[in-house]
Amino acid sequence: MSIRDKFDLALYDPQPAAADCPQGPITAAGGYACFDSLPPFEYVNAESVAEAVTLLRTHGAEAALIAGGQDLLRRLRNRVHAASPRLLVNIKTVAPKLDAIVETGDGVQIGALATLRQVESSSLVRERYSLLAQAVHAAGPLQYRNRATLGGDLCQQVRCWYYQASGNAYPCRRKGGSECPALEGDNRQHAIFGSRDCVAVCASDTAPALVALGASVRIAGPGGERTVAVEDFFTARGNVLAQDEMVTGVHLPFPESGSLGVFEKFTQASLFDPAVASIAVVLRRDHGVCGSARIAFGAVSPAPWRSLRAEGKLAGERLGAASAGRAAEAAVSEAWPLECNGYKVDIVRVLMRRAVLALARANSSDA
Amino acid sequence: MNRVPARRPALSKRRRKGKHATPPVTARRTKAPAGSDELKVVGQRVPLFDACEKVTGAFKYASDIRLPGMLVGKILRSPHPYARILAMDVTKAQALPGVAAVLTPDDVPEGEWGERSFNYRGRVLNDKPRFAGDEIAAVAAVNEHVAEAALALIEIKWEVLPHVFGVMDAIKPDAPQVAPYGNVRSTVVEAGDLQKGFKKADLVVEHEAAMGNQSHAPLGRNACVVSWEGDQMTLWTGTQTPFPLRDELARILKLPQNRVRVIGMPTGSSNGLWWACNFQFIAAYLARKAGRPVKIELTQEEAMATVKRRETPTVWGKLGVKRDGTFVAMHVKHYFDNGAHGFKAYPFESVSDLWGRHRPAIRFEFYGVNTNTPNAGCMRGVGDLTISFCTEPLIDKAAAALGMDPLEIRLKNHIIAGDPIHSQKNIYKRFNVPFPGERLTSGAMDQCIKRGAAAFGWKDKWRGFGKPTAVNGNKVRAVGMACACHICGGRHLGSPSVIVKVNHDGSVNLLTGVGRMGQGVETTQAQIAAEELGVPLESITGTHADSGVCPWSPSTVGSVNAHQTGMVTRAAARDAKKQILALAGREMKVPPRELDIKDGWIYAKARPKKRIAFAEMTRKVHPEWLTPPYIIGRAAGNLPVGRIAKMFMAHFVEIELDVETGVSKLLKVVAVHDSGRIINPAVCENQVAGGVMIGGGFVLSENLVWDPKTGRVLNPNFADYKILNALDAPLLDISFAEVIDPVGPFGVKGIGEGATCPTPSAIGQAIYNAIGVRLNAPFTPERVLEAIKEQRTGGRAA
Repeated sequence: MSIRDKFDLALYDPQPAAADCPQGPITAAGGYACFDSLPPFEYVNAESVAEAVTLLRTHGAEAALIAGGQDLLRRLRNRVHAASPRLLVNIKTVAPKLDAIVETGDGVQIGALATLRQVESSSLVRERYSLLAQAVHAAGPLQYRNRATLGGDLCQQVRCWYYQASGNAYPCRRKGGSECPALEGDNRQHAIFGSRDCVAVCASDTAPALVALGASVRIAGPGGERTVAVEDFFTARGNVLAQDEMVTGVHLPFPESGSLGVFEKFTQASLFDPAVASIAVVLRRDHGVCGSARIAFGAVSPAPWRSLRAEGKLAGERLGAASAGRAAEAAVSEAWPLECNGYKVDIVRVLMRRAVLALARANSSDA
Repeated sequence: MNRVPARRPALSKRRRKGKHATPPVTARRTKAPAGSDELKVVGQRVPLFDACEKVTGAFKYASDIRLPGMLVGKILRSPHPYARILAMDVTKAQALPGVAAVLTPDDVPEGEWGERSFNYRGRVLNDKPRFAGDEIAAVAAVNEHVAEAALALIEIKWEVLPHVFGVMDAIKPDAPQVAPYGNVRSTVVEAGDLQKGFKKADLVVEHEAAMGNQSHAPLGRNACVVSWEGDQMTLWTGTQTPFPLRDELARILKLPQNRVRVIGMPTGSSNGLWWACNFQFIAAYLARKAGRPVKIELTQEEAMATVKRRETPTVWGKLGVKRDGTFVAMHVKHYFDNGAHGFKAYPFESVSDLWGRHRPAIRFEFYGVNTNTPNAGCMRGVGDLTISFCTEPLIDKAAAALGMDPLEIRLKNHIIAGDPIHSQKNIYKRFNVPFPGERLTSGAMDQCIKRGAAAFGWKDKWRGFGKPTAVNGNKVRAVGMACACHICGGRHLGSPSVIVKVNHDGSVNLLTGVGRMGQGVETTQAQIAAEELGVPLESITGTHADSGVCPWSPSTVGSVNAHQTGMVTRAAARDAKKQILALAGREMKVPPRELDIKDGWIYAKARPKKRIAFAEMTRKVHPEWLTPPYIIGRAAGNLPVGRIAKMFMAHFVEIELDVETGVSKLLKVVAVHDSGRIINPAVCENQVAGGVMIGGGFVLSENLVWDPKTGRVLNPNFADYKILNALDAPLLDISFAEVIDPVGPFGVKGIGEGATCPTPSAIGQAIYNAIGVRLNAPFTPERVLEAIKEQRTGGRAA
């Protein structure tokens, strides 16, 4: 047989499906291996939120939800976890579809399955919450935004390179271990605020924007729905979701009149890189003076970091260079940088100052 | 596999001048070199042969190869930076249904593989792995799920050994010895008496520079497929070095070279990564043990963290200068990290000779050091990029002290045609061959500098060393420039050989052993052959890199092909032409020496109307053979002894630096290259544009990071390893100083490697001009900001 025949004929052996293959442990015991295939799993299309929640309840840690899959599939392929879910529950199929963006009596409701592209294209969002549209746009390139959902963006795992190392190379605290390899290791990406329990940073670009906007998350569970402020959604090692709960939507209150907003994401290279730090500010401006302000930073702590000190410094101040400087110093006053990430403190300072100056200059418009 | 696309756009009759089609790249062809009017194909902006297939996705890479009965191979690696395997139990893995073979260090030779042009020395599987990621075992199974499950079942008992990560630590005599042959290898390039040289100096300056870790950051993963038929092996893989890979496989497998067939597939981007790589050797042994074809496809992580990276340099230099700017002595010590399996003592030291106009005494010392970090070796611009990152600031320091302009001091000292070249000396020494003495064939460094300065508007933007061009609030604009040179192949790489087959219908097959790495070699070699043979480019089809079909070629490294292989391609075409003219002479009753071929016509030089079509001649039945003639032009040869070509380049950059965030943005790059005559301006402009992005990325954003404890690479992906992408691209203005090289085919020299070399130093100078501090690379925002802060505090303290 000539080489050409071999090349073109491409006769395949009948290939068994992954689920039919014999299974070993999920990660290598004695060595380090780079995986290229998804581990086997069953895939169920949930027809309702209730069904999805029931499946989560029945299967416990063996089950995981999948929507856009932008975070989950990479983790599964790289064997980031000690165990891999045996059941993926597809929630893109639930009826009614969870991707509506609608005005309610007191604000705007965004379904958890609205894609980032849908969110940034929505006129409701663009007109009233332009900083959210900016944050969503910065989350990733167009192909990513077409797949990724708002719910997924909030629930995504941290991008800490120790946590995400293939083959579960570092069973760290966020995974239930006792050590944090980043504390002693290369922590240039890591947190400067909040708890030192786990120093991975929240990877969501939308989270700080939602915190600044005072948004809340709607959560469905076996006992029905509950609502949690986005600010309270994140915890030191993850989020408040119980094993059998899922995010169904985000509620944005109407901005107060006279509200201004700004979102800025700082990256080392191009916009779609993970943020070094980001900032979202919503404040009321009255004749150049700041009323109340909500300030949240992204990528500086395991949760979006709300800077109450900076908010306090700005309240009642005339927006300008002087107040910008004071707010910046207040914002970094709580920082405790690690060995390699002192730079983030500088960037938080710059972002805070620039945000205030931008708001001082801004034409009055919606947040 | 080297099919010509069905429709190839015809050659444009008139040469397109001026602006390139796709902004923001500006391409200038300021002046066509002498004799260009005579040329029909060389110098033309023709599209790549494989362009249509590439953009439509029809192009085949090694990953696309599938064979009947093929198994999937996966590799198990060491989790430790340095350790010894005390016991390895593979029984559970072997027993897993669907597993065909498990390969362990016991299945491979004790000896290491590694050939002189490779950057690698190591066993196929290591029982004493030298870095976290080193290959220790492999599995072949019916599919990847089974293969991966089997890897997880291999049990290993380890003895963890003390490791060493830093170059300067590994040099110490009591450091852990990474390789059995010691950690350090060294080379010296020298000429003249250094002590006397420095005595003559009115001024002596010193500089020490360090750079980060650059990954080849391949945009495509690579695969290797191996099939055994008895004791004959066929191997498909993306490689720059099909023949040296074939030779080394034959040596270690103890097979005759004709029984190892390497079919070199195109690589994605290679930049020095895909040579002979250990996974190809693993695939060969695994397939033999399994008794079925095996394919190993590396993951992105494996491609970025385990194959190779650029050597990490630390370079110290000292320069002695006369008051008028004449260089009298230059001493450089270049330390570079070879990683675990890198094996180099010399990194192509062309820049050692670059500033030799006034015969300064030179001593360039090179120390390649093994450490327990990922393998390091050649990457595009090797050596000359890193040396010049020290020598360029060294020259700037001297210029600043003497009150000279950076252009002026460089114009005074760069070499020109005929100047002596010392840097190859040690290669002759290595092979115990007396050094014949070498002189530069051609050089237009002066034109690169002058034309670049004019195109850039240097005079208007240069404010002096350490001074920004403009300050606007927190944004500082600054400019910088730098020069470099690089090799265009070399005699020591070996003699290329080329076959030009002329078919009965006048069509031509071009056979070479070059590696296909997206550099356009298929097109440019065909342009050379078509030009020499006098036939249209469309009549040539190439087959390259198949060791069962093509003649031997050196590794496609060191910008070897345009200059060195091209010379042989031209000679092979000339051989074919001679045979055709002999037949035509008999047919036309004209002495062959009075005939020539152009545009597909064979004609009498004195009476151009007396002519016969090329294809008509090749179709005529030969009176003795009773068939049309079959013409095989062939050539094997090397560069002439005693003469050596170098490419030269000057890059001018403008940056905007934010003093609050430390972020530098590359705004504009003017690049002028002397690569001799340009075979295909479109190909060469792309080479330069890509080189600028790689050089710029190296100093602005790229850095491969490993954990300080485990040594495992932390960012083997494009989210955490940041290359410059399209959004970061500067305005590019690329032009060529086309000095006709007396040795290269039609005056051609190389281009690919050198394109990366001056950009890092030029950006370094611009950063210095922006903030007044000389920094080591990468110029990450945090480092720049730290320097700004330190300077401010220092200023306040003073």
